[in-house]
Amino acid sequence: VPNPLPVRNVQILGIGSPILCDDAAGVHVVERLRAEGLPENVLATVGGAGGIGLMDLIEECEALLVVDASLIGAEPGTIHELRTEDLERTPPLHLGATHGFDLSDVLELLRVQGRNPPRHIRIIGIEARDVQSFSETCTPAVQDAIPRAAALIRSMLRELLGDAS
Amino acid sequence: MSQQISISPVTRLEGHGKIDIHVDDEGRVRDCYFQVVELRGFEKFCAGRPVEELPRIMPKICGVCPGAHHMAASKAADSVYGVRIPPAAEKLRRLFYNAHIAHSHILHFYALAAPDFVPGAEADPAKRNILGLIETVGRDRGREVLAHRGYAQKIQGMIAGHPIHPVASLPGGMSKPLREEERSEIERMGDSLVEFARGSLRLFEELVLNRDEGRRLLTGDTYYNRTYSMGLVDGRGCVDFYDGTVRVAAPDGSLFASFDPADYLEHIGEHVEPWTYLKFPFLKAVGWKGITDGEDSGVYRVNSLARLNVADCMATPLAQQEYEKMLELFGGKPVHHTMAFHWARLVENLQACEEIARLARDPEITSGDVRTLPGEPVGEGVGTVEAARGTLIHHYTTDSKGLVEQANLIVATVQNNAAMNLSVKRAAQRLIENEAPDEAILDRVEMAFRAYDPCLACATHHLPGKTPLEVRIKTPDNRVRTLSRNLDRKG
Repeated sequence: VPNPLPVRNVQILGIGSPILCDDAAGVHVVERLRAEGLPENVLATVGGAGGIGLMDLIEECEALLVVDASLIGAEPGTIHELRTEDLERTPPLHLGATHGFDLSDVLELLRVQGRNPPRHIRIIGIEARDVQSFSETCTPAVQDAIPRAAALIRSMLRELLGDAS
Repeated sequence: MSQQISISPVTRLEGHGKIDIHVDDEGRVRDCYFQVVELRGFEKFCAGRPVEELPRIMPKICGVCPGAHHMAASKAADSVYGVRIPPAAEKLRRLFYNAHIAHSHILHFYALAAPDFVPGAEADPAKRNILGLIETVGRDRGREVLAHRGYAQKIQGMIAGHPIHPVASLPGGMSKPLREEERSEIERMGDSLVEFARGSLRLFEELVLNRDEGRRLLTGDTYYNRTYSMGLVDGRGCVDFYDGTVRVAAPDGSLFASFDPADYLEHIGEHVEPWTYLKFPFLKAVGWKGITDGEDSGVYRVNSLARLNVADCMATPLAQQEYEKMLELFGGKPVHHTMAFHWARLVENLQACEEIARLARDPEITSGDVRTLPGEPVGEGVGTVEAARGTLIHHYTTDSKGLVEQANLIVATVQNNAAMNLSVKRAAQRLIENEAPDEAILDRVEMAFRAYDPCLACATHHLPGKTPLEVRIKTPDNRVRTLSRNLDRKG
């Protein structure tokens, strides 16, 4: 089944459950960026709990920016900038091996399928406090981190796209 | 003095789980406790919301079985409004739902179950995953697996608006009909899925049935528990994932009970243990006799094998042939060998794929008549489906405006809670009493609960051998030895 979407330069992917408090931090960041407006060559996607589902969400693009909640061990609201090589040691909540597949497995499976994984991958982890209570809003420290994470992504976009951003 | 062994799958989204195994002076396994921390505040979160929101909210609980929650919530909401959905809407929901079952079963078999057989539990954990399996079966076969998993996911997305967060099903039916070009694409994908599902059963023969080790795991007594079985059947007594009558079969295979899902509270009780948040559903008519199997214990099992145990037949011809083959090997039903859940899953996958191909050809599937507008709510409704993991019950009560007052969910994994404890205990008994190496204990205990495809502890969705495990063995002279692996992964 051919991929109906055009090739984009950059994809931003926010993952997490939208109804489990701080677990949704990545989703809120992407929704904020969408509301503020994004250039045409940037695709913003909201994508559930990660794992194998990432295969259906990752599009052909030059660069992929993933935003996820994390429990790496820092003050809630701390923003972690990570690369794929950090995932083995400090994976955010939905990019480690939870749900059966980590991001590296998904990238390898994309290659098996004959698809080109993104060339550059940056990961933004937002340290969570509560990921076990049902709520559509984050705890205050994580809520405060959302605009900061969005601003960080904008600066990454400027770096990646130059004038085109 | 007895010793205690703790196995902790470190996880988060659905809470962290831990397994404690208690061993007595003679080295015999006395008890096993499979523990999971529950999520908080669900009732409060639902209260006061319009009931029509629940089919969109429930799938967001976790990413593993959104399709099942979407369907159970829609059916419960239909029932709250006392509304009968148009025939085309039911067909669309069934088409969606069979794709959901196919997706879940394909993924579980290839990513989680098959690597336990090939390359096998003793293999390097780095190879015990879908990539290791692809190395064994070849890249072409690997591409086929990924393509067909993708088809099943795509069909769900086409019908329900989003593959991971489905939205199209709502009280009274569906929010949009299926277009002809979508239907013809689903027909093509459905035909391909049927062939793929048949090939998966041939692969199971090759990897498991035709190998001594595979056959021993499947038919031996390490993974064996005689329990009651429960599942939905249609009017002919065939396996039905979307709807039907709840049937319970006794451990000897006789029909024990048959009831309308709305009457579940008359038949299912919930036992509470002080050491876990997770409840233990049991058959009220038998009673709770502790975590034990046999005729006198109300412990029952759900999921693929249980469905095949309660049914008289599969709903589709090719799946029926495979069902008969499976029963022939075990000498009839019920089958109590826990590793046969994997085989049953593949038989069910074939039924789901045949149903996709059949429904895609149904002339009514593109009908525009997909919604009956709900009127005044009657205030209470139960929606039941067979999730991939077993019977899933949503029960809502609302006020006169349709605002939720109470929401009760009985999920499949909870219903298998006691049985998972039993299976872990039995596997541990065989291994610990035979002084098996530590790694083998970790591997085989992991295999015992993975057969149930549980969803409450995300750790169980780790790739085989990648589950973070911690085992603490306390010896009688008070020395503690800790075995662990993958604990540096905090995900």
